[in-house]
Amino acid sequence: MITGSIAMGMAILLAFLRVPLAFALLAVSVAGIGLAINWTIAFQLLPLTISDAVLSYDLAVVPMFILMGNVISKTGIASDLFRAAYAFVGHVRGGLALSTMVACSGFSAVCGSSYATAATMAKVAYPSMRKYRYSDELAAGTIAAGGTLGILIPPSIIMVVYGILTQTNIGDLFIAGVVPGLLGLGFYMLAIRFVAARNPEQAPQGEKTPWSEKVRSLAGVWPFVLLFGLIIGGLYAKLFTPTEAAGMGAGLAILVATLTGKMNWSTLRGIIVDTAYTSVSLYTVLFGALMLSKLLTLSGLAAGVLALVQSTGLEGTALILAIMCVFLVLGCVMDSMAIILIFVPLFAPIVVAQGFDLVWFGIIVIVVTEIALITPPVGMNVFVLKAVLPDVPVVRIFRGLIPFILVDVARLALLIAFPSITLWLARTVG
Amino acid sequence: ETLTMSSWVPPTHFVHTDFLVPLTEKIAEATEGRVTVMILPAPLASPPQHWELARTGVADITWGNFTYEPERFVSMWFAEFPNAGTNAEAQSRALWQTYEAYLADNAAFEGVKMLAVGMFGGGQLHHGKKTVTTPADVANQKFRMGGPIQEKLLTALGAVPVAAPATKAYEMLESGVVDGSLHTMESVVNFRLEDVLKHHTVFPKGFYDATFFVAMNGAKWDGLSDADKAAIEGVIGEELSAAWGRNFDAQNPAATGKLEAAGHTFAEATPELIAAVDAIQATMVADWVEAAKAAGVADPQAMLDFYNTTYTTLAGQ
Amino acid sequence: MLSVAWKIRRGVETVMALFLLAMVALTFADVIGRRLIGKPIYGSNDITEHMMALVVFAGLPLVTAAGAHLTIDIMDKLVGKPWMAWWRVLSAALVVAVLAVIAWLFMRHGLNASRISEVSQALRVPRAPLYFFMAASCALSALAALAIALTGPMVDPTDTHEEEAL
Ligand code: NA
Ligand code: NA
Repeated sequence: MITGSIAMGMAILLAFLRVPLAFALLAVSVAGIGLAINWTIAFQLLPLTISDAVLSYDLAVVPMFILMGNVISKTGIASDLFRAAYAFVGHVRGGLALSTMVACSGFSAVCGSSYATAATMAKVAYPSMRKYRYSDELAAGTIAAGGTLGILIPPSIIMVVYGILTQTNIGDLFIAGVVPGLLGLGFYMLAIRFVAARNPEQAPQGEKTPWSEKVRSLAGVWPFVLLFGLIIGGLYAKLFTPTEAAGMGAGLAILVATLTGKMNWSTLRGIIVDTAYTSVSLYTVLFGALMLSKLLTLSGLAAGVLALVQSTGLEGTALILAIMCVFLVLGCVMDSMAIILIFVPLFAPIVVAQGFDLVWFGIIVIVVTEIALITPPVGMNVFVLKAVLPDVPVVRIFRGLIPFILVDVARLALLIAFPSITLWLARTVG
Repeated sequence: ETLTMSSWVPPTHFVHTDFLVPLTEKIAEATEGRVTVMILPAPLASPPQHWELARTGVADITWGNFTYEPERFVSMWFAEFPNAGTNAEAQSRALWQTYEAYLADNAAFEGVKMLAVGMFGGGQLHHGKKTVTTPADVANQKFRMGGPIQEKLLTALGAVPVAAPATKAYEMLESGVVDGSLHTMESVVNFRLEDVLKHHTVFPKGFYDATFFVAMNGAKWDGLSDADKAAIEGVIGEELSAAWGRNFDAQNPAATGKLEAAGHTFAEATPELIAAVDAIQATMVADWVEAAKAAGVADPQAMLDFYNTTYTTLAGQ
Repeated sequence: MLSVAWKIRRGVETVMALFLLAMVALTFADVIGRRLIGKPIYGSNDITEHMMALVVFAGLPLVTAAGAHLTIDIMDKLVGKPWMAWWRVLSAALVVAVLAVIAWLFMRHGLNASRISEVSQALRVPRAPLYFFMAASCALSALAALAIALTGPMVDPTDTHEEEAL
């Protein structure tokens, strides 16, 4: 128990001092197991853990989801999506921000990552918002917040990782993310309307698009509709499984991009190599996180925290609220992937012991880590945006995010209070 | 002394609640609390690695399926062939006696103290859409399965084997990746496959089987005091193997009853299908005799005959 | 010398790209074969798993050489200060040590795998050669980590490999 706590603290400290996260986790967990139990066990477990992970089919779909998102974001399909959304809602007050939000959630439906969603939409939507003299706060806030939908609306890389860490069905997690994701879209749109009503100068009205133009804008959306339709249709018609959807989606995205003349071998090679690099660093971090969870199991920290929680008498929803508060605080300074990798293995057994559903817990954890992406001082989506829009001060982006963080907290409370919002669709479909 | 145990089924599974937990209690009771077993809250590796976990001492006690490692325990394959029986307690006792008499010194089992071996009372063939009773019904149908023996069996019957763990059965059946799946009756219910497997083909002597171990790290066992070893010997071996089998003998009929009540179709395999399976079994045995000799079993046929005689005697009681 | 390193890197990148493409093509072929002619590809998941393992461990030395491992950079300013040089050396040494230990362990793991005839579930592909490949990859990565600690990361000015896809 003590070893486990020290090890977790050490891992976090090393990671903050710029040791690559994977190596901080690996070094600390191997040393922890070696010192607390014995070195033979530590050295036997390391190759077993790495080979189990690298030879996991469930995990092998992650690169294919990343590939699908990369193909779509780098071939202009996203900007067509935004243009169509703008043609329809651009003329109302805050319409540009609203259409950005709609495009973000549409893009999330084919992309498993929040960073990719935020970065792509920043390139696509920010120039328009600047042109119509939207305030930087609202423009950047909208994109940073909208980007977080990427990990909640399926597909989602973080859901795959959560599913592997907790042995939860990934297909169930995907379905469970749909309603909370759409709820997020609705809340964000309310937040935009509120800001636009209170400070009209932050969100000037756009031009009204004639119907002929609206219809024409839809023509640009067909690659997206086709992809989305094939993936969802294929799943619904039971042509393939949720795990196979990754490969099918990536393949279809490449086909569509090639057939529409948006991609040649050199672009494709670049996109795939990027995907491979991202996958390698994700895999190595996961090796570290899995080793850390072995340390938690063996050192008794998992059991110890469970006993500690029981001794406090915290139960049911109060306990979940306590865990969520911990995650919110961690989320201020840690990246969502790091939080899930390090803390979910610690809390999942407690949640199971209390009789909660791990699919539901997964969704609320993901909502909490979505908030982590946009809270100061470390909000990864904000940094991604900053990299794409170097002239917007970080402080203004964070200020613009306040209304979105508030509605996020409201949504989180709603999801905790009514688990059926999350589980209803999964039960209906499954 | 506290021993660690790694298990890879969820804590609600009957192997955990009705077999592993009672085993920990029996060990604590027999040693008057000197030796206790702690079941770890999460498995330390994937199911196929559980023999290695025990052999190398990462966990002190583990359990698992011999053929999850497809080429390692050749000498055990015979018990997974068709017609291995449907009385799991008699099977598990017979397998333990066979292990003791013929295999305990085999190099493949070095490094561990075998606590029990077991079988599961006959796997059967299950289909999502149609009743399967003849060789023609089986041909060209896709079945989810695991392990080299099931693969050979299905291929020889002209069916299409698709390799995947039982945990993936639901989504594969639901999305039409496979038409049917190989399971015991209890696992149709325990993996919640009632909605996707409605037709059950019954082979009276079992379509295939599975062999399991409960193993302890050898050095850890040697390190126990003689008194503790003697005490634990009293609760392991043939008795523990029988307890393994009894769980399946309770689970399988209960599952059958539940599925019958839900209106599922149960059909016995036709004599033609059984004859086809018997013919495949004969070639499997012939091939295995050679392979088992290479794996260090002096007289594999005698071992198989011993298992069959012992099983028949025990099951007849 | 450096241009040879770049050529090797480009070559390995192409191989990784082809493997990832092959994984996508395999899923397609499996689904279509199953739907149209009722014949899935036996062991397709098994093949995907092996290809992914090859991609990850072919890429590990490249990612290490590019200094592209996931890092939390909130304290960058502090760690970048001149008086923190000792810490940068120490953390580079830690990365090198971890990679070297993994290389050694996979060497042992491969020897053990051939001793116990460890094979994959569906296709029964022997595991030992894969483990030796992983060992070699980790050893190379350890060298790469050592090299960039001395010379700085091997960054391609034309593609940035932003970590935006996580
Ligand atoms: Na998504
Ligand atoms: Na944050």
